[in-house]
Amino acid sequence: MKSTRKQIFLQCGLLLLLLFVVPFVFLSLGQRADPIAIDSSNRYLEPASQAWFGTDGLGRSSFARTFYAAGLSLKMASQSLLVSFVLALILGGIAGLTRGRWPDRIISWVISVIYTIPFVLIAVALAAVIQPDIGSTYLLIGLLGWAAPARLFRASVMQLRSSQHVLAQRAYGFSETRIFLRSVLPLAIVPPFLGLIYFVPELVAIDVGLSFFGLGAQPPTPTLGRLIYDGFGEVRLAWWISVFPAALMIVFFIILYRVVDGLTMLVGKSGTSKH
Amino acid sequence: MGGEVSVDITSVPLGELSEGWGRRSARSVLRIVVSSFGLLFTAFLFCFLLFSVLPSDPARVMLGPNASQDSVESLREELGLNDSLVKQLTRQMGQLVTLDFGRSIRDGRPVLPEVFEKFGVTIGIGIQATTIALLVSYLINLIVFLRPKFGWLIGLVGFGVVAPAFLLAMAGALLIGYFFPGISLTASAEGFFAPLVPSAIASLYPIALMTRILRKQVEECQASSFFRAAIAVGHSKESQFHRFALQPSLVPWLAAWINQLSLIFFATLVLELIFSISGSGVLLVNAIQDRDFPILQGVLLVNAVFFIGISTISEIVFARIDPRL
Repeated sequence: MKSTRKQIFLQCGLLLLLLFVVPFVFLSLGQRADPIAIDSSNRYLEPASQAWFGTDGLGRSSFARTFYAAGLSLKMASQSLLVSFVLALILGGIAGLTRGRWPDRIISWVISVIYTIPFVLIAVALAAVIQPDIGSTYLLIGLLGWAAPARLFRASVMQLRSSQHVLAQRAYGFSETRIFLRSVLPLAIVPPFLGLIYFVPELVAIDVGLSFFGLGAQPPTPTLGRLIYDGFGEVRLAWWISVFPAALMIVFFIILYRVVDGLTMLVGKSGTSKH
Repeated sequence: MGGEVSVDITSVPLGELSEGWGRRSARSVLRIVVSSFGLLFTAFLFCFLLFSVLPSDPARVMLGPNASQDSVESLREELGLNDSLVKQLTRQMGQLVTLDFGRSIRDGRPVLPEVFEKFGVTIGIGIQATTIALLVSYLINLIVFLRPKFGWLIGLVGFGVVAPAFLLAMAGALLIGYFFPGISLTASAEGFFAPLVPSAIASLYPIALMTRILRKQVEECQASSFFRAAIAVGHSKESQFHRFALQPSLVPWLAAWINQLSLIFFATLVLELIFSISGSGVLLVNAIQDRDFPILQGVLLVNAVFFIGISTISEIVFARIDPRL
């Protein structure tokens, strides 16, 4: 039991590290060489000991660009994820606790409204009208993305609060706050988080979609999606421009999902062994 | 989604129960329909506010920064932007009721047929992709249930979530172009089944998610006492799966299907642009580049109508499948 709890803390720490520290490590790695410095004498260098990941058509270091772009994209995606998650917990929690009364009705109504139009379309429309920069666009997506996880969180809060083990704790005289914090929250927090985290790759890629609409990051700032997308255009000429960032992204997500899957299993295990 | 719903069915005569259910379902259908119209109105209000209340001047944005003040004024007059907000709102609502979405600013063509045609292509790809996901997730779960040694299949499809759709699409296009140079991917916009390759690529993400969701539900069912009872009674493996695992899991699984349709919408747009399919992706890109707000509004509203319709139908159907809802 105790070791399960320790493992959960360990995995949570790993997860936070991946989401909120690794992007900054990538950023600083990318800034060791200038990711936007043009060097026309070294165009299309193949990967070698001088340039680990080679150089692109303007002689810019692919290594610096890959890590800088990965850091930037993941940082923005994590921020957007965090905004959505916090909003989902607060609003979904309020809705779940006030089941059927007016706060729940209002919040559920707003969720349904957001559901009626794919939220990226709302973001595109808003971005077309107010034309924000890429950071604000991600914030906007975060501000709209809470609907799906909030709906899940609301449902699990309501379901857990009517479950046998919560009833038993009420009979025991535990306060509602204690029941919520110790028995409802830890179990209800998992499904909305999972739903959000499986969306991170698309979140990173939204940049590519937005750039079709002239709304993504502006060159020369590299972002992961743009780097891969543009690199694919010249893949026959220089495979390394797109392959390294794509590989970095896939490896990062495989590690991320390993941790997330482990966490889900642990929480599920502790959830069932408790009652 | 009540966890422990304890209705003592045995104490109610059967006839009364079914009659009450019929009346209640008629009332709940009515309520769902009414609330859908409310949602539709909210979506419309959102579009209206987006294009008329925000500090930017649509006429100025459409004409660009170099246009003279006179031409901006005349366009404002033409679009009716100088009227009061309430007047604008009622006029737009009147137009909407008569299905008049206005005309495109770029080429003066009516918005609705244009949006319908392009939206149909996009949603066709979306429906194909999510339906492929529905079938594949069912098949994989059936196989893993019947032959547990194929459990690695679940892990395999899980790889669909590690890369965004555009990357899978481009890698797929590259591989197909390398191994099957004869297949033309771009010219495949004609007919409902033509864009199967983009659909298959777009389906990888929903496959991963829906397989996991169904698997989790099936595992929960397998742990329950009614499932043990079914085994004890001697149901075959297939019947165990279909009647005692799939049936109780229908609502979450189908709900995921409906959700995915809206979630993969953006991936579909990007795929259309990559494969040069003339769907609402191209329409939106052009509308945003030309500041063609009537088209943008048309796309938003047609979208809203479609997704509200889908969710209304699904709510009614879900209430049929699971009377507790």
